[in-house]
Amino acid sequence: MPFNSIAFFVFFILVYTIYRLLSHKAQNLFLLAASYVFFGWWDIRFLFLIILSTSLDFACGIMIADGQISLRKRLGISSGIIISALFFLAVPWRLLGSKGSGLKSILLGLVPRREGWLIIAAFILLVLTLNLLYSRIVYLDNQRRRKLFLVLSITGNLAILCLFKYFNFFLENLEAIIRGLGGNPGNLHLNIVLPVGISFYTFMTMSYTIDVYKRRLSPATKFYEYALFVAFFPKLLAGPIERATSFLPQITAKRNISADHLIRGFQQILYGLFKKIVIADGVAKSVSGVFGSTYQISWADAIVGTLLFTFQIYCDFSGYSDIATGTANLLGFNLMRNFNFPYFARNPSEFWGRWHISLSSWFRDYVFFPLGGPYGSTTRWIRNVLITFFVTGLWHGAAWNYVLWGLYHGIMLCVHRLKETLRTSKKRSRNPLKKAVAIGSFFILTSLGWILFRSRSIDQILDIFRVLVNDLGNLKLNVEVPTKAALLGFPLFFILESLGNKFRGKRLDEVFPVPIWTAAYATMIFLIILGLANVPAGFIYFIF
Amino acid sequence: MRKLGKFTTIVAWIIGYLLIIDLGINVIFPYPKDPRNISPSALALFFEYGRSVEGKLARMTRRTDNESAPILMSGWIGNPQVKTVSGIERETSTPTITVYGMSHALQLADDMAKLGPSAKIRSFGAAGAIPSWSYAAYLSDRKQYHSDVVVLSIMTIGVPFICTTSGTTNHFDSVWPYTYPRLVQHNGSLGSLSPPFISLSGYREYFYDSAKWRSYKHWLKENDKYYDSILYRKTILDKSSIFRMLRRAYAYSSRRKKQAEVYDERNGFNQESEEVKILLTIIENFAKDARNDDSLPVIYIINNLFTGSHLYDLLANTLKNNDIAFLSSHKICAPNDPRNYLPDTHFVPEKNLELAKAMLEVVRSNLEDKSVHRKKH
Repeated sequence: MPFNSIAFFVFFILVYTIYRLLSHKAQNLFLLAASYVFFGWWDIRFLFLIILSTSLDFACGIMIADGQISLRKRLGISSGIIISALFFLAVPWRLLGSKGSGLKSILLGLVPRREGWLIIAAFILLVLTLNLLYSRIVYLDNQRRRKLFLVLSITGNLAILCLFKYFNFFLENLEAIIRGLGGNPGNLHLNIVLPVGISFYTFMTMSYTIDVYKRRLSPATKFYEYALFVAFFPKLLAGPIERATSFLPQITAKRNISADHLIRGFQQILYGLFKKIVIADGVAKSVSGVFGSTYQISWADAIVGTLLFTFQIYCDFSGYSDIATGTANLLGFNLMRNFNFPYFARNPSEFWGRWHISLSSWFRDYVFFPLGGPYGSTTRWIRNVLITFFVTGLWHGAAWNYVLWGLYHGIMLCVHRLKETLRTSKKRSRNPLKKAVAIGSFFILTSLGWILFRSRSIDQILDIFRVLVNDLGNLKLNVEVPTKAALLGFPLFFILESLGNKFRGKRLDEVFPVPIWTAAYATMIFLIILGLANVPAGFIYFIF
Repeated sequence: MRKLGKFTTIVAWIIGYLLIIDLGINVIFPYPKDPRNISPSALALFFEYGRSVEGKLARMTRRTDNESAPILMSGWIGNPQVKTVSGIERETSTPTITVYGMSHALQLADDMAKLGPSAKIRSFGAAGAIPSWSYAAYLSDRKQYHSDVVVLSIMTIGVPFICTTSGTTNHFDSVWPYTYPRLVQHNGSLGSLSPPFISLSGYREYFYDSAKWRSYKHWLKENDKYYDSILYRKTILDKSSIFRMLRRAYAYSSRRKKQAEVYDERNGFNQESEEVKILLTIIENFAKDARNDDSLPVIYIINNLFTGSHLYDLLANTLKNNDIAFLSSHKICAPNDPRNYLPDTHFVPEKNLELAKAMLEVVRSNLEDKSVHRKKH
């Protein structure tokens, strides 16, 4: 159920109407149920993973902070895991209706198969073991117990992430190494489905236990409130990666939906849809034509394809974030700002303060600083930066091109830092021409980085860079022309981004009179309608 | 109350601007009223795409051929417009090749005529023709004319529309009123349901009689998989360019879903779909019929851009098992190379010429085989 679908539109209207009629506690319970419906819409089996991850971190959070969990909570969590394993994993939902349409046939068709019962048995065994170990663990010394549960939470989450996202990557590299040594490993590849949004919610749950461990946060006391923090549907699939410190209080406190929430919400949703439907989807085919080509592209193809992808990825991802933030606003929540006009950055340091802010700040707080941050010797902080950007790249996907992209940015950041330390004057130039040159130059560097990100293989990266050097000046263009909506939308997009950057992210209605900003939104609506006939492309960041 | 007032003001301004945009488009990019004007500006045409099917038909249809849009005459199986492409008269001994299909097929025929002075080339085509139309055209033509070689053209993106019955349902942006039978497959044999009219005069008779037209729409609803009253029915909303665009968006979305049940670029064809089963039976029947007429059956497989060799892969077994000659475009024009295609899905002229050459070679070698085979027996 992507945001740019009719199904989501209907879903949200229904959810919103009911939500506004409920009391605070009922609102939270209802939002949790709606979020699970939203997530299960992709694949019902994904629900088990999210419930498992939620249960693990909820229990770990309490054990880290309080050292014990009440019997009622333990029973609730244990039975919750087993019931969800039965309901979401063991029951063969996909075979529903294949055995006939009668009630009896349907019910019989839903009886778990042999492997289903094995899964149930495995989880019963796991839950029993953990409960039996509980009586021993509570007597552990406080510090050891806190560490144990922190390690349990982090390894549990990383194990889930590695299994579903990186296992095949690991196997492919193992295969390559064995082949390199002259062996024949056969095909080790496993047929694993990558659950959408797994990198996003896993990072949210990990940051929660780390914050509880660092005593920055008291653990959630109610399971459903914590579960809503993890599964809140606007941000579930592609962020922002919210922190429990700012989001949990919004769940526990009564929410007041103000007119400002509504105006902000509608504006953000509209701008997000504009970026996604008009720009990102409008250039998607042109970009695929270049990066998916089987022919020798020209220099002009490589340049235009890269530039279009630069805007596609930004509009796709920030468009999603805008819709998520706007939808949350309508429900009375405030999500953190994920993008702040990143293509106006003058250097890599500024860029990472403007691009996917929730992820870059996550890596800064939970990887870079624990490694030692910018302190210590030059080699040490360079190492810290490169490690952080190595994992940032790997977070985006289980492939070497993402790692290269991460390292590319890491190296740029190191060079920038070194350049800054060598500078005698710390004052930044206010000359607009110098500023424009800096923005333009860094935009080119960012765009070149996107070649690493978008390419399908290392060979393709080399090919494109070879074309950029050897075919310099070949202006023969084979790229498919973007849709009319995109061509008409680009000028408005550039104007809005420039204004947003100039007025530091203020909304149009805060800067301009009604007749002017409504004209911009009317044009956006018109272009969205124009763009609706585009072939809708899936949100790029769902796969991360 | 103040909040409500502010909200109303905002909504009023936005609606006002949308009305101005709507009106502005209609004024700046008017669609020519004269149906004989076949070259409106690209933007006038673009904003016209979402008009209802009946609205588009009303624009192009007049009581006489001279007043109507020229495309109205295209594709009628009841009064076929078979074109003899070869400019000069051939000797009686030269073979006659007839090509059936869409504009791609007609272009192939034109280029074959340029290249092949040793054959008489005929073509029978319809704008956007799908395999059901091409097969119906062949069945109709074979009753009146004997061709030594008959070429049936099939294009990847046309296959999902096999269960349609008219140029008003197999496409939406541009429509053509021609009709063809609804094919149905039952236990491996092919049946067909004839539409209420198959000629231009029949269409005019129905179009200008509201009761008959209603009955035709009812027939479409019953028998045509792509009939959709939201897209078909003319309403006052046709006057609004914004509603026209909304209708077009709806058309794309709803038709895309139906198409994906038969074919998608990533996974290829759904072998279990009714359309695929009908297509395979069409090919078998076409080959059988042609051989009964002592004609050489040839299938021209047109693989569209970014569709790989999906269509060829789908048909390969049937072609091999029935020993049917064919030419698949993917062997000459890589389907993933946009340089081989024009933006309107046609092949670039050089590639089309190469395809024509290859088709003549397919025909020549198969005719030779046929004569050798005959001599032996």
